[in-house]
Amino acid sequence: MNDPSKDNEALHQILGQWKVGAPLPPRFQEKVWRRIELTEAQRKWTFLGAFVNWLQTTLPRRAIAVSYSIVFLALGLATGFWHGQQAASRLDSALGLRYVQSVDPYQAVRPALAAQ
Amino acid sequence: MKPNTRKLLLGLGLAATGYAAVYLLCTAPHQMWLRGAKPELAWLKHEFNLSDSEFARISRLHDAYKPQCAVMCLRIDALNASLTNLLAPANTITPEIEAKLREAAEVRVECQKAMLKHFYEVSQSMPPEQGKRYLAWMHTRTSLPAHKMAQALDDKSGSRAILPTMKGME
Repeated sequence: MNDPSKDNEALHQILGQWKVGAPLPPRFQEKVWRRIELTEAQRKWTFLGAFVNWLQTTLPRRAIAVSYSIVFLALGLATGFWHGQQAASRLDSALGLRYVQSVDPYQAVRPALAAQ
Repeated sequence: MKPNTRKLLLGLGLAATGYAAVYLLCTAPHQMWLRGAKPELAWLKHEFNLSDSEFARISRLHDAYKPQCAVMCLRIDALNASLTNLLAPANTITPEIEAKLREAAEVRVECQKAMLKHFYEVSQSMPPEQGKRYLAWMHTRTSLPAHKMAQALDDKSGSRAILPTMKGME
């Protein structure tokens, strides 16, 4: 089996002897700095980015992680309750109408019309 | 997966679970009624707080009324069809149109009488307070003339106070 430390030594020696002959393109350093500045300017602030950043810095703390879970659970429960109440109210109205249609011949759903 | 990503997903999972649990809990009775044979009667039982014996009596009344209602529907449809045929080529009221309109009015009276009789029977099978509420509810939602006239008056005068509505009862 090869000894990796010996290989590394040999590689270091070869790399030490290597000399770059080709000249750098004109204004190379200036162009590199400009690209760095451009990349930083393009990295705009977004809510999601800020949120993920905040999570990364705060979540390792146990108390915050627990509060975060409770907030998410509470949000889910509240939204579920709100939507559930709306759906129940809609179903109530629909079933009430269905009852009326079952007893009022002037509002009854005719099979021929319903099939259209 | 990063620990923070895991925590974020856990939070979202908790929210989704909470949402689904409460939503299903709120709509569970309705879903159960819809799976039954007569969801509208199950709704009636719940809406008017009927006991099992009251519900059984009302279900029997409903089943007895349904064939009458179906016959009335057929008569209304036949009358409407013949009236449409008479009205299509006409540009004045012919004796045939007049007779058909009179017949339609008679059928309407018969339907309304049968409906009202059924509503009274059903309301009498309920506890008195619920019976009153049921009658008021049916008067506002069915094609009874009193309701239509009251609605027209209401629309004209813009006053809702003089009309018996369900608002105070709901």
